[in-house]
Amino acid sequence: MTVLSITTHRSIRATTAATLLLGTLGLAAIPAPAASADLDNLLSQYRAAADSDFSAARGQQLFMRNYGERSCSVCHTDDPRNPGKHQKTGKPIEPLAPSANPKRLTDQREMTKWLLRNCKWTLERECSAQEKGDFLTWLREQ
Amino acid sequence: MNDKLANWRWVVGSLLLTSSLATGLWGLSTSDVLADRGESEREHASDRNSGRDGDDGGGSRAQGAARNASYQQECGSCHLPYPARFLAAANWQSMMGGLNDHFGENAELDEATRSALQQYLVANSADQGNYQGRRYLDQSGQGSLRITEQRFFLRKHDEIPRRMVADNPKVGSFSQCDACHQNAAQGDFDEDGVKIPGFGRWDD
Repeated sequence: MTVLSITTHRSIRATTAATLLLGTLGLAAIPAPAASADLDNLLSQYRAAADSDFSAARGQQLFMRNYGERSCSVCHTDDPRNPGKHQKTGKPIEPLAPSANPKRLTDQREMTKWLLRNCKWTLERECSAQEKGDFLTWLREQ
Repeated sequence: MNDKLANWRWVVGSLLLTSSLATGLWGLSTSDVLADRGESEREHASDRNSGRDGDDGGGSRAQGAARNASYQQECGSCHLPYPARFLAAANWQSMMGGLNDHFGENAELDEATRSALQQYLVANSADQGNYQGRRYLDQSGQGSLRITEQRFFLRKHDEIPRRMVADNPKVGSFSQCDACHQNAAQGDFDEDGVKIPGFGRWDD
């Protein structure tokens, strides 16, 4: 790693350029929230049926909670960035977090299908529009 | 006179030897491997046939092919998309009508997809599909919906000891076809493609 002296005119420019470059790269390392038309569509649908604004904190709680012997982490692990495994068949499951798996949260059909199935299996009931919105609001930032 | 005869004997002798050698070599080069003759050859033939019923996306009917992609995607998201020929139509119908409790899991689908997949499965089922020899018709599983409990399946796997499947942590259950059948994803369950994790090839 080169040591940059800041005493000469040329090296001031070099330092500034290097700092700006590294700074931009640093910013790029922060995951941006997932964005897709399908996701926005779904969120506005849910918002219309929900009681209050969505909260990522509530969404995270929903995901992390145990429901009797069942929980989301049984297949997905407790970190959505990890790959998971189907608890019965052992089939590998791609990470849930959009930062680890860019295909997530881009297909409305897929999102509604899995929310239906997995809420019904894990919570033994459908998730409410509020819960789905909270959850998606949290997951899109992971 | 004796010399002449001796010469002729040499000629005839060499001719006979070479021709028999040539016949032998020709015979070997044009035959299949001897071990594949007989019943196993018939099995090979019908396996190849049924592998082309469209499960691997190579169906001859355009409609069938479209549904196949959906079957691979929807019914392959948690386990191997089991070939339709392994169950009778009635079993497929029961299964597709009860996806909310799919062997303990919820596998619900939107009605359009569910109905299309059911049609595909029934049309390609053991008793309604177009399979030469209909080897999978032995479906008396006493009402079980599980492929692994159908009679043809039990007969095919009756020589396999517990330690290779149920007690084998790398396999766990007969429902994990692709753990041992290395070409299962292509619809090929031929014995030649069997490699049991931790035990190697299955050689009868």
